[in-house]
Amino acid sequence: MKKIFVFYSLLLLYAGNAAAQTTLFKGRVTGVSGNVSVQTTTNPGSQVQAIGGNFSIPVAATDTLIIIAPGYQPMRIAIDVSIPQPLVIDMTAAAKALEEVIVNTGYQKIAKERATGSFTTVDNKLLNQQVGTTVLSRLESITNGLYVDRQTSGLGQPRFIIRGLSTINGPASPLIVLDDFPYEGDLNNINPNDVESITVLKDAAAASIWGTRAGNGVIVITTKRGRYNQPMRTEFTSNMSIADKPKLRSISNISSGDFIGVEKFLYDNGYYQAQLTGSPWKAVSPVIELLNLRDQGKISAAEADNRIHALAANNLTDEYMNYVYEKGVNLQQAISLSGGTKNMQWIIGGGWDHNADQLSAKYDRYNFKTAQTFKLTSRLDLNTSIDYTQSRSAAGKRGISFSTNTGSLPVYTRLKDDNGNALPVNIDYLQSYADSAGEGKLLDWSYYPLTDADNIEDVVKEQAILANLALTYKPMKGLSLSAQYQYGRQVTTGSRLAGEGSYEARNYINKFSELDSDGNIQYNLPRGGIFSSSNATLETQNFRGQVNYSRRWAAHEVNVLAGGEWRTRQYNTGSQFTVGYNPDLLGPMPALDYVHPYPNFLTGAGEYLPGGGSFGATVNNYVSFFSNAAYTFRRKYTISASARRDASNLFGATRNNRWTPLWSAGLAWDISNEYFYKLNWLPRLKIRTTYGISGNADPARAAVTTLRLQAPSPFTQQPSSQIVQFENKSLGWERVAMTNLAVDFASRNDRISGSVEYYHKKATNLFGYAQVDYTSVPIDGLTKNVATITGRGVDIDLQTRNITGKVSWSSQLNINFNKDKVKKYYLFDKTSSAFVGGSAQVSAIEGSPVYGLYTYQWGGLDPLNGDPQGYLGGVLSKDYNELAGTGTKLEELHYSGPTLPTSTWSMGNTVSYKRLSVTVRITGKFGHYFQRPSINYSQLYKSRTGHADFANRWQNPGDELYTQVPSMRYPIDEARSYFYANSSILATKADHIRLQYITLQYQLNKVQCYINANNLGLLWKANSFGIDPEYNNTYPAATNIAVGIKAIF
Amino acid sequence: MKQLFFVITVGMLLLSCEKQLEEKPDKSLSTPQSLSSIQSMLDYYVYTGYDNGADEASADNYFVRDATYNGWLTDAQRGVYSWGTVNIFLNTYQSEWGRPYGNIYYSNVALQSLQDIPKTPDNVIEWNDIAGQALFKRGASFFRIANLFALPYDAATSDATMGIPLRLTPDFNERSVRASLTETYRQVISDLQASVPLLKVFVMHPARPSKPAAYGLLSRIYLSMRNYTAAKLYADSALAIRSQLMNYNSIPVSASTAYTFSNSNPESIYMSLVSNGQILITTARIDTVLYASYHADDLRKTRFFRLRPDGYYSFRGSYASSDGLYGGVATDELYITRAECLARAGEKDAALNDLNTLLVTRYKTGTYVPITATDAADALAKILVERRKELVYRFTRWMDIRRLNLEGAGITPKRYINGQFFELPPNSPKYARPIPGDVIALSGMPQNPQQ
Repeated sequence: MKKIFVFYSLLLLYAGNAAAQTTLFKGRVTGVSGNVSVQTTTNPGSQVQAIGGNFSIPVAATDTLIIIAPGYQPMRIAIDVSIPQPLVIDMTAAAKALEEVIVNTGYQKIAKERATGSFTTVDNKLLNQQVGTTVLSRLESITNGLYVDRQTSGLGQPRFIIRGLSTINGPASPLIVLDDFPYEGDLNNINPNDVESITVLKDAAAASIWGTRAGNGVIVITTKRGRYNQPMRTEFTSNMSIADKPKLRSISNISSGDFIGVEKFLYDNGYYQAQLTGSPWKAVSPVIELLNLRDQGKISAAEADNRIHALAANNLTDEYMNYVYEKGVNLQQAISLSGGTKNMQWIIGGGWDHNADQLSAKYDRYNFKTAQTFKLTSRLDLNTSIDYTQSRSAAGKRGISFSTNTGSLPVYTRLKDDNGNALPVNIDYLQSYADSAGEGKLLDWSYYPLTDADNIEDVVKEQAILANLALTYKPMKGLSLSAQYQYGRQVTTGSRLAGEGSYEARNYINKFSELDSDGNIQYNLPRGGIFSSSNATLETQNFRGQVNYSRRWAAHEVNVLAGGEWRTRQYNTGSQFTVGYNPDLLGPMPALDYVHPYPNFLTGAGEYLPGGGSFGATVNNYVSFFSNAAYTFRRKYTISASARRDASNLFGATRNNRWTPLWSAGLAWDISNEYFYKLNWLPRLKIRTTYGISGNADPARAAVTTLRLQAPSPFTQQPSSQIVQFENKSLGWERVAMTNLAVDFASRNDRISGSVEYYHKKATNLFGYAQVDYTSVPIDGLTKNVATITGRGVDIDLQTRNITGKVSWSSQLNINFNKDKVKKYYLFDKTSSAFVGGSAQVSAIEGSPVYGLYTYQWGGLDPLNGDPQGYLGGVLSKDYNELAGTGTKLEELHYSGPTLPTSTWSMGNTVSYKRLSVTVRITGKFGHYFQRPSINYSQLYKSRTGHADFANRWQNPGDELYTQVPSMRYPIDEARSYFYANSSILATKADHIRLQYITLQYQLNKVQCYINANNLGLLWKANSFGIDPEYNNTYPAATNIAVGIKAIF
Repeated sequence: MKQLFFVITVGMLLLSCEKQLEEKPDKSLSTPQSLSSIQSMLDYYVYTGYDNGADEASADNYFVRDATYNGWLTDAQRGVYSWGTVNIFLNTYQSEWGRPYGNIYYSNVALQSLQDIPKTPDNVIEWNDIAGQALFKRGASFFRIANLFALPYDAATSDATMGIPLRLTPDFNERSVRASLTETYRQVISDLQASVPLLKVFVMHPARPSKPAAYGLLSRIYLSMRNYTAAKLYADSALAIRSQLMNYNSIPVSASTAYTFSNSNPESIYMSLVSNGQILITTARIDTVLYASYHADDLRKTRFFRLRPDGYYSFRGSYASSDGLYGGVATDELYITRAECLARAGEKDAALNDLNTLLVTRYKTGTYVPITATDAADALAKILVERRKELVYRFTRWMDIRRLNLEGAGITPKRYINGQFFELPPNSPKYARPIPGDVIALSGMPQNPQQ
């Protein structure tokens, strides 16, 4: 910034040589308080003070005024004597010139000052308070209006939500734009060190230029560029971060002793009898196997007892903590060089990331980037850039979530014996049975949790290139024509070799073995490993032609853009699967019989050999036209409007809506620039409002009967296809209409600045998953445009400078309130069981939030036997089939509240002293609920999923006075388990406050050293069960500590 | 100059638009606009190859030990096994009700899509065959639904008896309404009869419907309606095309054989699969009285059944091998159906001839003593005994219990579960099993009364 100032000053001095004849010029300066002085370029020495804003100064016939105010960048205004006097000069824009925030919509860069829309900008300084491999992961706690949803995304990746939900069942993620074009590649490929700034487009005026994809908001990522007339600048970053072992113990599990008790109980009740006699080859847990051996008389009762007793001392979580998980280590280095001459600007850079996670999964990424802009002529600019990324990720060990066909590993499983050898577990078949059936000639049929991954090489490599070419031609002042082209290609190749030592390969080989009459083993599947490879190529091309007209007259300012774009996206995939693979002996593979089934060695059931491949190709073409216009009068009043039409080749749905226009309009009024504005303590006050409509198109929905090719029928060997979309002629796009009302303000010297925005959105035509009568169509529910939701909220963004001076202290506060409400939902089904089921359940009851926590009314435990009780028609009941079925009416359900927070808070405080600064970021989420897990006896019996609540279960009459955990029952009663799991006794408040990160920075000349500690845990939570509500039933993000340096030369 | 360039570019862009917008977005997706895509839809065996199976699971060929009942059966399986009266079927389209209706939907989409494909001399055989397959599968599915969810057909009362919804188009906005039992069976018969002239005589695999398959199924359906004349005629027509029987002597088994037969065995005319969801082959045990009724030289004793460690027998004789239980039509069933019809018509000798033709292939070579009878009634009684022994787990037993009880056979299936006794008295309203509750709630159609 200082360099630019010097450069400007030099320019001014140079201009000052053209001295000429002088007259007196009158003017008035507004929008600024304090001492304002005015001078001219023709006579820099003659400086006058503006008194009460008014000044008069001698000028030449054509001259340039320079207005200087303390703390502000000098402002230059070209004048001539014909201009009406007194000239009103608005300093607001100049004031901002010091720290003018430019927002990038992907189509244009505009000063936030003159925008009517709602934007959140995150600059790289704020972004770099955290350390990490990916860009988006850093946005969570610092971005106003952005929420990372881990509640309703189910088991999938957390999803980003901007300003609350705009959809129920449509795609909910915002559009990501990278360097002007939608980015559909791997988000992990973006090097965070290349990012200059991120703009989040929050309201309709900001986002609707993106049309049918803007309904969920837009995140625009802009990468760094060089600058004209800039000496070479080198930026270097290096850091290392260490992630702690995951907090496995935060999920409470049943104890080994208790679980053994449960297994004995089940065994005594004959639970395993059918399996042990009917399918004696099927894997059972070690305790069951011992009990069975005892009953068969193969071992003594005492021996069985001793061995079972020994198992009780084991704890699987400890085994995983001690032998499997390690600390994760991430290394990151990045360097970039940039500079510019009068006619050229350039940047070149690279980065290297090397990550090893807690399960030894490896990730290596190399980034290379170069971008140049050339002034070919004074009117023609050429802009080119290339980003290249190469990455390799290798899968690591299997974590504790590993589960087999028969359920989780028993909690008393040991992974390692006293001599350090990996211990086996049986997961599909019983080793002892296979040994006798196969006369000991089969391969080992056990799984070794500790070492199995050593035999598997699972690597995904990715290469991605993104190239931009842009020509900008300025035929006359204010007008520019540009043509932009972007080519993107991402090739992902996966290869996975499960070597012969792996369980997977041994299992296949054994299954397809046969014992011939001489007792020799015949292999129907060749010995060797199982090799599968996959490749996916994503190719995108964008072409955009755009006309910009931007012109400022004395009191008028016009910004217009219009253009069209064409976009194509091709995605090709292929996969191959080969058995009998020997990495040391490659060549043609033997032809195998995939057509006829072979008997499974143990069960005799016919199974087909694994094999074959699959190919896929998708092509999406889009054509769009767009325009955006803004007009500002006297720097006080701005009106804006935008419109866009889209069309694509997607089946059906979009065809119905092809060329549907989407639009927005906005108004802004800068009150502090008015003559009558007198609030000296609040020099800046602006209000703005917008309204507009954007769309949400879902490529996965189609309105015509659509077939998807499936594996050939094993009988006819002919292609077979499944109906994946059912004819639904009325299906169309979702539409989101949003109103935004905002106030921007700044107190004197920016001690307090920020904005308060109120928004209201109405999303109509929403895809609703309406249950259908499956007599009429083979699906349980269908998508229709049936729902309407409204959302309203307030975004508060506050920046304060609390203490300035030697020790400075500044704060940044984001407060977001959001409430959504279902206005209309086409509900066939009023069965109460469709509304319970925890956080990810779309409850969608009219008048309630989209995601609400509904539970069965809890009636306490039956004092006689500890059965859970509910209410049917207001009367205590234990008829679980009715309670969990159709008996409970929707109105009888207990409603706790939304499962998404109604307010999220984030506060960052930075204290600086000399070269040292410390930032502490605290976040809070309030107003929501979650369903706490407890013991589920059905899951405990069937899949060994336990919970520590088991120890607190009702066991004897009187226990109901201090516990609400139901008694253990046999046989399995699914409805009883379901009722308890979804009862109101487990509904829990999710409010919490979290210490997100602490960053310590020390500036040593040109080198900055920093330490960042992230995910530091909860400071406060509303629940008393020790559960972090963000990570209910999963492991909280591990604490991460990073150290690094950043140098700029 | 540059402006001109720009204008030309935008112009070209516009011209290329419409073509780009018509491109197929996913190469693995298609719309049913060609014969091959419609055929591939009907070949989606995961759907169209399977039938529902709760009828056999509700019949009396098997039992489940208490330990299995308590430990392994799901609530739904327990409900079916004990003839429960509410919510015994899962509330999903993949359930006993939804599966055959899904099959019907595929057929209706096929039939509707065919309307847009002109019949030409080049494609007429294929066109007809596809239409025939769709009609066949629709009629067969209506029959299977009626067999489980409507009372048995009795010409005297069928006008006033509730049938099932007859969905004849893929338009799901049309409400499901139950037709009368007369209309239901009229539709079943008309679909299958319409398919006969369209279907091919020989097909690549019994998984595809064929002309003899349509004849064979019509024979079974008429038998269930107790129209024995028609049942005999259709059995004749089918057997005129396909009559081969396997000699079980040539099919070896050992103690560990899990599945005796191949799924392309010569008796198989139409293979429809029934997934093992209702009867768990490994855990269901064959009724001990039924097992004891086989002669020591009867090869079915070993070809059909397998001794389990608990001392009881399980079934291994599916004509669909390990792919599931066999719900389709095979030649053995047609022989025995024709034998029954002949006996009912008083043709004792012809009836016994059919029966003995079949049974001689089921006994150890040289041991079979042909069955004789004093009169046609005696022949009929013997044929019905043999019918049950031949068609174990072939999805005919439930139908037989229903129809024979209408004639006073008095068959009463019984269960002992955890010391409790259950029975299904003859002609009970429970022979129309309860329709899934959510279907009733969503469509508003009347439920089958259970008492």
